[in-house]
Amino acid sequence: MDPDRQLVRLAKNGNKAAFGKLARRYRDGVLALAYDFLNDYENAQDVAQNVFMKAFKNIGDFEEKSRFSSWLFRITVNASLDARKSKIRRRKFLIKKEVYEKNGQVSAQPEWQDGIDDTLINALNKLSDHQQTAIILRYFHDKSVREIADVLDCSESTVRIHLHRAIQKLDKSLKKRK
Amino acid sequence: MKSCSEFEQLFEGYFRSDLSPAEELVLLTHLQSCVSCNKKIEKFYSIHSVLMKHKRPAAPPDRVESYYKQVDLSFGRETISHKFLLFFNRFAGKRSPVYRIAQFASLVLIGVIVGWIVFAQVEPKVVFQNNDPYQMSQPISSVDIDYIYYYLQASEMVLLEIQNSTDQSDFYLNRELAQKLLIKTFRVSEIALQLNNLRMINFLNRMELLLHEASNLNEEEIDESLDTIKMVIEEADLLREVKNLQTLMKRTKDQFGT
Repeated sequence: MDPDRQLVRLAKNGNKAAFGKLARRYRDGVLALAYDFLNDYENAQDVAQNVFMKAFKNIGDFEEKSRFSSWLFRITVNASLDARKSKIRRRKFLIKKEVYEKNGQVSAQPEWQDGIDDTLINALNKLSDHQQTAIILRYFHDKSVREIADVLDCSESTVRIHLHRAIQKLDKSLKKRK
Repeated sequence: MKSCSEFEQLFEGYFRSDLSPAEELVLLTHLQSCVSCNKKIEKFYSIHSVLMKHKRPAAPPDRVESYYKQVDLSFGRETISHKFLLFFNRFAGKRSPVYRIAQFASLVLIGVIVGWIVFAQVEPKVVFQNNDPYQMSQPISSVDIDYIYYYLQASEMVLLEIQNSTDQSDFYLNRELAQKLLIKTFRVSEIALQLNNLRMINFLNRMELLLHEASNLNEEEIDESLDTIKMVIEEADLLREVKNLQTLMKRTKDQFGT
């Protein structure tokens, strides 16, 4: 049984205090998950705050088929991926602008990575969204295959396939680096 | 038969001891015979170890603080009233077991009250109780007090009529009255027995015999029997006893009667 059920039902009836309690319960997890996708606490904080606002606004749509935490993490994953895509688009635009203005060379290292030169992070960023989500939830958030399936809205066997392919890709990426 | 690719999907679960005993047995059996999978599981384990060792850098404390503040600002800091509200909703909210038990109990209570109103007989008001053997020893209702009082008045009338009758024609009227009163005697006797009032029971026993005798007289023996009845009334001093009992009931009636 979902331990958050009572609070979720109250929050569905518009009880802000109940949702506040849920937000306090998951704020660290949501921030950490957003960071794992963005590798930047400033952006992760913005995403996490937006996730809670969005979750409170849409909690009426939560059908309680899965755990509240899975539903919240799904919102976080989607918001983080969206934030990362818009960040990359903005970065590409800035690079082009810089090149056009200065006619000089720019670093291949994206600025939003805050200088983290981690081979594993770089290898993770090359995975597909689903593969990356599966790895992050499984290894960095210690979620079960069932919970990951709820977040990704797919079957457990599909999650196992994502994990398997992700590990295969990571193996190749890390070998190249070596 | 599973392919090597399908067995590879079980590696991750195997590293975490997440496989079912059957899956684990199948995998280990396959690994004993498959060189390719043996090599792959080693590679996978090295990646698995790298991922397991990964540690995310801690968030800057000032950022965490501003983030917590922002969340509190959006949904309110947890106050004592919030805690109380959540506690109340948890234990007395519409879906809580406590609420459901209370709902069921109140329905049962309403059922009992309605049942009592519909089916319960209205008991006569209890107005008198006394442990004196010559008084009322059980509760007596105002209806019974009235009934006994009027019985005693009628008894006095019959006793006086019998005592004052001089010839056979007079007694015809009294005999009818005696028959009616005899019927009432049974009811009054029942009440007296319930009350365990010995004085009343004694009086009623004599009255019953006397009224029975008076109701069944033959015309041939009426003169002789009438004398016997008069003698019984005098000897038992029934007229004085009926007066005393009337006084007692009148007092009771005045005190508790309607």
